[in-house]
Amino acid sequence: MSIDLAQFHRTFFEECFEGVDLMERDLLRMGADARGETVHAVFRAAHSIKGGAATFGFAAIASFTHHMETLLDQMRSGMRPISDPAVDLLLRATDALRGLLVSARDGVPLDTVRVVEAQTALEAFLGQAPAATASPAAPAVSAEQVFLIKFAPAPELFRSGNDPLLILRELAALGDLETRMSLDGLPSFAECEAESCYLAWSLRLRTAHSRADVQDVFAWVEGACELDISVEAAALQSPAPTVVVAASQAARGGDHAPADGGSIRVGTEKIDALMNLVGELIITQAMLAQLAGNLDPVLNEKLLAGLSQLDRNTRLLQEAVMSTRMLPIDSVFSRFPRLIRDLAAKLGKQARLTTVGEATELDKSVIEKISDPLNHLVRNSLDHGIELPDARRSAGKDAVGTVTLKAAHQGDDIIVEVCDDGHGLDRRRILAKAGEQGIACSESMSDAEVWQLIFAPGFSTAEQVTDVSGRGVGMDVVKKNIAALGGSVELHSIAGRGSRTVIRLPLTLAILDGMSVGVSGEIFILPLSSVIESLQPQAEQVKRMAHQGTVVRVRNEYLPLVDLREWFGLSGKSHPLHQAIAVIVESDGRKLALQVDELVGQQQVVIKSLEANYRRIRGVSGATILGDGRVSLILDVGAIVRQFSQVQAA
Amino acid sequence: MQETDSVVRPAARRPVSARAQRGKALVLGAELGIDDVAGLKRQLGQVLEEPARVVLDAAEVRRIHTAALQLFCLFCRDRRAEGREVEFARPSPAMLSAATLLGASTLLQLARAPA
Repeated sequence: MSIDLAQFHRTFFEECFEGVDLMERDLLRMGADARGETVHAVFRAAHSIKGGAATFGFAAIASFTHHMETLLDQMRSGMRPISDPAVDLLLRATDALRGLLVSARDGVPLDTVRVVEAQTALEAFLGQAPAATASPAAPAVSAEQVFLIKFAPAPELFRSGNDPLLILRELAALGDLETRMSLDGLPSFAECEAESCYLAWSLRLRTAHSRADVQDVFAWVEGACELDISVEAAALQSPAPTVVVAASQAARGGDHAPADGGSIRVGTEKIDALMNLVGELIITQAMLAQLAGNLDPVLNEKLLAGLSQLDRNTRLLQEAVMSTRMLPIDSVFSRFPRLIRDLAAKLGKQARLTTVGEATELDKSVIEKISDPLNHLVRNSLDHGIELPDARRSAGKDAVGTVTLKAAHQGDDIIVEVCDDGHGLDRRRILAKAGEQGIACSESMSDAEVWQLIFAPGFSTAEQVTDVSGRGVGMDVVKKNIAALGGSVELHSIAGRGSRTVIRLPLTLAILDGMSVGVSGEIFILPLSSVIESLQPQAEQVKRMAHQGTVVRVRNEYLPLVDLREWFGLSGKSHPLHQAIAVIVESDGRKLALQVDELVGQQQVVIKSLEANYRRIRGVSGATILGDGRVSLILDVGAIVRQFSQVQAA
Repeated sequence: MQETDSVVRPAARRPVSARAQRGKALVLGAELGIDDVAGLKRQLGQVLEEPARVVLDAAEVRRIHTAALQLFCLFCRDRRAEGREVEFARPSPAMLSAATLLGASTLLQLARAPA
């Protein structure tokens, strides 16, 4: 029977990359503490990748992973100590393995030098002649069998003095055990009896032991459980795997795959489609709510009650769909232990990473986009912040520097911080370098203003360009990327004590808190995060300045005024300003007053891409659909402030 | 300011963010054998409905029976189903090893538990 294995490849590669990430993370932990559990976890990940690769016919991956597995096996059995050289070697092998996987998945050329180097190093470390290890994994495991065991204890099993944990521990001693716990038919916590067993397990045991040995483990509980032991079709020897094998491969994943614990993998495009539909539903619901506003509440009581329920349910549905897109920030943070380790070694520094709040969840699209800025910031902390061990000791600090990554929710924002306990920012040096590079600055600037100079394009204080930093394409890009996400960056620093970069981001990019304003009968949305205040100025507060256009005096501060009607070339005549409204907005620390006709309201809007549906327009970041079905543009305050400054400077 | 004519949604704070700031800690005993599960169930029952995040400190756990782990699974599942947070702090090697063997570490989210 021929089966199209390609349909399982995607899952296989996803699981492999998860396995590689897990191996890398645990290898880094293994260096710190030599606990047996960690090496077991790394071994299991390598073992799963090898098994899957052999099943799907990726011989090179299976063969390569086999060497890693052999070394890990020796380490977990105590034959070989968990030493730094071994961990380094395995980390290098993990990189090579990732390359092999990418090459197999995308069909891109393989960095064969790196793979061969890693494989040779592994073979040399294992003390094997290359010729002897050229044969792939299959012969080593050909004597093994895979048992599939269904074990469902009777409720009274605990009371008879038995503990499934001991049984599973005994099974694990026979070979490689993969466990899936079944939660089917479990009562609620309140209803359960603490001493009754409700759990059941599906086990997969790869062992060289016989079926009788496996059966023996359950000898004490026979009669007090449902037990089914079968032999899995031999995955590794069979040239054409059966459906059962492939399916179990796809569904399997041990403890590490998110598939465990009653979850399923869903493509992001499906979630995006769902999100879009919810957006449409919110708009429809808003339209209904607006129409209902004109109805007599007495005559239409039931209809209005129904609409209010619809409103509630739509809100709940929106929150539920949003929550499916939320991921813990750990998926970004977990990349940094490796980066810190490698960079610190390259720079001759010592550093440790601590993370706080890695379970904080945020939208997947935001997660994907903050990875690069964080990377820059962590690199900067290590390169510019953390001192060399001797300098740290002489400053009375621990020779090992600390870089801390923190994440927390604050209202509708998420705050991500990158802190280090290095020497902090050097005011004098920043000013000197800024002067050299022709960036406007003066000695009288406040500390906060001096730190802002770092964000100027092309700014770098590094004495020499390294591949770590110093090319001056860092902080301005960081700031631009974060601003593109609707977020902001702040820098704090104490000389000799360290620096702290605080990034504030919206929880999601799909919905925005907006203020709707009316100009010439059109409604525009201003992001609430950039609005400071709105006021109706007195005639004497408005002045015309030569070469600077109109300005408004707000509490002894003169702010440039932009008439949105002129800006967008709308028809109609502008009201005199003292009859109109000025909305004060801020971006990049610069304030601007926007002249509008009226303030309409405050609302959450579903952002629709204007670029995808029409084309890019300067000063507009997107569009939304209003309750009455009209399209309203969302203003890009940052772009308006920037453009206005350029016009003025010209 | 007049009421909006394009009511989509008033800007509402997410309740989770306030909740995440607080937490209620429960220190688990060293012995979680079959004789201890009735007491453990009472202890967990008291915080089942707790609106703030519940943190189970498992640093001291030396011996654990499947029955205790089953209680943790039900407790975590029920709380999360109601949108209430629960997490394990400093799980001991005994706790980690038992959860891994029984296939419960994902459900209990022990991988992300602070060490």
